[in-house]
Amino acid sequence: MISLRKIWRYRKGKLAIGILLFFLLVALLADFIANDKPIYCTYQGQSYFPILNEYAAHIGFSEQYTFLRNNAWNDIKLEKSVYPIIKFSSSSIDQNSSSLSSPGATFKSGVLLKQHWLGSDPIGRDVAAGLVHGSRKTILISFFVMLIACMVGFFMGILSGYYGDDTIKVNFWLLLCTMVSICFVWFQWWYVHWSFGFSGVVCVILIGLMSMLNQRITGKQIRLPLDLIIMRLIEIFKSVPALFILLALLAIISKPSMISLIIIIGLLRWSTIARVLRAELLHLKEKKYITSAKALGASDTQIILRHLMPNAISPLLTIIAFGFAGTILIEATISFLGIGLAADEVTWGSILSDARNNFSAWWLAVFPGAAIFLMVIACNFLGDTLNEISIKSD
Amino acid sequence: MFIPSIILIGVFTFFLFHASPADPIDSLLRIEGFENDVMSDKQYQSQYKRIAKELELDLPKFYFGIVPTYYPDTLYKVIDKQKRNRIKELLRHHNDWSTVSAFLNQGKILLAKLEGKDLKREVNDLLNIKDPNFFSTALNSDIKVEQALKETDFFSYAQILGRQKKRGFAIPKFLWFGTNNQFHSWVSSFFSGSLGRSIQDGRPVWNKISKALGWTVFLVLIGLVLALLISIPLGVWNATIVSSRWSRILNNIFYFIYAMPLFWFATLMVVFFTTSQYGDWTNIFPGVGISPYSGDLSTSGRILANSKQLILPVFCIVLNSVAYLSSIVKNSIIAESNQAYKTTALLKGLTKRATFWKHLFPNSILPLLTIIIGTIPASLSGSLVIEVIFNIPGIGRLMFDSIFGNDWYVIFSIVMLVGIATIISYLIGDILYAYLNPKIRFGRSKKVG
Repeated sequence: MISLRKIWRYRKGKLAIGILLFFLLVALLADFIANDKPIYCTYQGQSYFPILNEYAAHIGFSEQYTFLRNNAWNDIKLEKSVYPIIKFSSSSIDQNSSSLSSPGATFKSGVLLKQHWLGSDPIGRDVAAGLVHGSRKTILISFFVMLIACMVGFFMGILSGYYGDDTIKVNFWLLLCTMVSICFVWFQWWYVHWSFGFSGVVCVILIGLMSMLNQRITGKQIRLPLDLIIMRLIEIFKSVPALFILLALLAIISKPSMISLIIIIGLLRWSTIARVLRAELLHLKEKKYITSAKALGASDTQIILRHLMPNAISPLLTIIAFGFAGTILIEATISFLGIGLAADEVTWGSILSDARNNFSAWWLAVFPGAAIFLMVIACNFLGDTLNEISIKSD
Repeated sequence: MFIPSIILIGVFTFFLFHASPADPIDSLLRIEGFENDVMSDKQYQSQYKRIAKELELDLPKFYFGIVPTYYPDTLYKVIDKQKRNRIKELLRHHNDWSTVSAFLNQGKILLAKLEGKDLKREVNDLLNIKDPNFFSTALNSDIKVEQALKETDFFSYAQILGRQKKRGFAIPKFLWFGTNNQFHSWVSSFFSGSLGRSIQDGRPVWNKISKALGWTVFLVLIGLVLALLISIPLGVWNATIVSSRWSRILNNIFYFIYAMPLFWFATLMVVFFTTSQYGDWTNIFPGVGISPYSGDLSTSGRILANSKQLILPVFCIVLNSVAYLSSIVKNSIIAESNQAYKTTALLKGLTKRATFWKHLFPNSILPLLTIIIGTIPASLSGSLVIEVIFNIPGIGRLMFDSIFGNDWYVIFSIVMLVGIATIISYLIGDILYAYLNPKIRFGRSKKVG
């Protein structure tokens, strides 16, 4: 198995862990790094924790401070205050800030002196705050995209690699009945609006019932060419450039939310994982220890989970690390093109796209791009390290 | 394996096309100058039907359909998507087509009678309503039953509909439509070259695509050729100096260039090197954008006329692929030089140079073919980004613009075309590979390798 300590031994691995950890921390603590509220302040002798209070208010534990009703934070004279390093939040626009101010520009906002560390964008939002909060979106999106991709990819890879074309045999009539009833459930979902969860549960029960009955029924059995079907599917996915499919799909959902974005990208990215897992399983399942496990009476689930997956995991981790890099790139590309999340949600790609119309504002081009680049290269480093480790251990 | 892929892509694209929210007929009517509010309803309807006929939207969608038993057989004849969805919604809550259709008919008659009266809007609301529970409340309070209402059965039908009558599940019914359907005519017209009309400006889609195609093919091809011309010598050189300091530096540079997002690199180039904002020497390249009007130049003529503007985009594309390809060349040469036949050739008495050019080089270049073919989808995506950044009127730019204009005919023609082009290039790649590599011959043997 691969431990963090092993990765730490490589220079690239060290760099990768460092950069990724940094971005992870920034994403987690985004509200405490870039915010237009103070972290801690005292007002009329009482001390407050405005950011924590906001969290609490979000859950419903507390309410907004009464003295704030009609004021913004920068209008109130606080006796003592500890502000975050970046005194802006990503979306709110400071009225006193000017658009496209260059990095380091300071200005007076109410009683505060604020500074755009990395400049501001065409409508006066702070770039540094955008980067900090953008890292949260990038990490969230790429994590869940890869989660979906892994789930689908593992499932498909095991089906095509372990079971293959010849293993699964089903009674023809049973299969037909199951297919027809699944189609029936789908039909009800479509026309009578059965709930999605209910239909899903019914389908799962149907498939379970089929596999149970299949062992009891004797009769003409046909083999399911799972490998063939899945490989064809992957081929089709490969044949249309991902960006084109993505653009067409996103255009149909004219305003994609984070969740729909994640699902769409995730469903486009499973094919590499499935292919690598398939190749790995094809190679591993011929090993002697698998035969012995089978001879000892281990079930398929046991063999896959206990014996095959732990051995197949290291090339998979490599592919997943590179997959992260690709996902970050794709997400950045579509928000750069303006088709990703809604326009008021600041992402790295959306800040970068502002640079296209403002040539004089070099900071809009350099910083968000550098952030994307750092993330991508950290993932690549991680992938390289994992690859080296898995080659060495073979 | 090649035909089924194309068929599946076609089916996929077609159904995506029908899932798209926009109404193409309405937009086309607007282009032709027929506005909904200028002309009378009747005129509009007849024009609407004419366009629908032209676009063949009045045909059934697919070869067959499976619908609940209480659906009418010819629901597809209702062309307006919103109207059709309304009928479906009514049917979902009241599983009886005869009542629903009677209600709709009475509504139509009533609307004709109410021409010019205040009630018209309220009846319209009632006809359009999604939630059938609305009927019972609305009829009792809001609508004053006038003479007109009494003369038709609208009211009584609405009351019947207000009492929901639906089953918990639907029994499917199979409908066979034959080849006279939208999918069939869409596919056959696609392969005969008529892809419909753009709903942004009414021009034939094929016209738009063929104009844009030249730019993209030019970008991808010239990028590939230049990248090969640079990366093969570079890779060979890099393989000869392997594990020297220069090689390490070169590898690191390429590593970073390859990891660099193409759109970032291009944006940086545009921001820093097309204006004199950052010093006089930075104004190296001409500004972004191809002059929009071409006179009567063809695409190739326009490419020549704008060759200066194309330097930077081609440079961006080439740099990115050189970084990738040259390391592939290097790695494959190194892998081949560990093979035993190299030693054999040297022992045979060949010089190092001859061994390299006669044995190593051809063997290590061959895998490049598959890799190049494999990068085609990626380079099309890359070309899209570059075209958007540099305002080059290629396929990617067309796709991008069409998405913002909801121009579905163009979008899906492009997706289909790009898919087919990629599949064909894969096919050509496989054939070429087999032709060039004596180790592989397509035969009857089931598994190769």
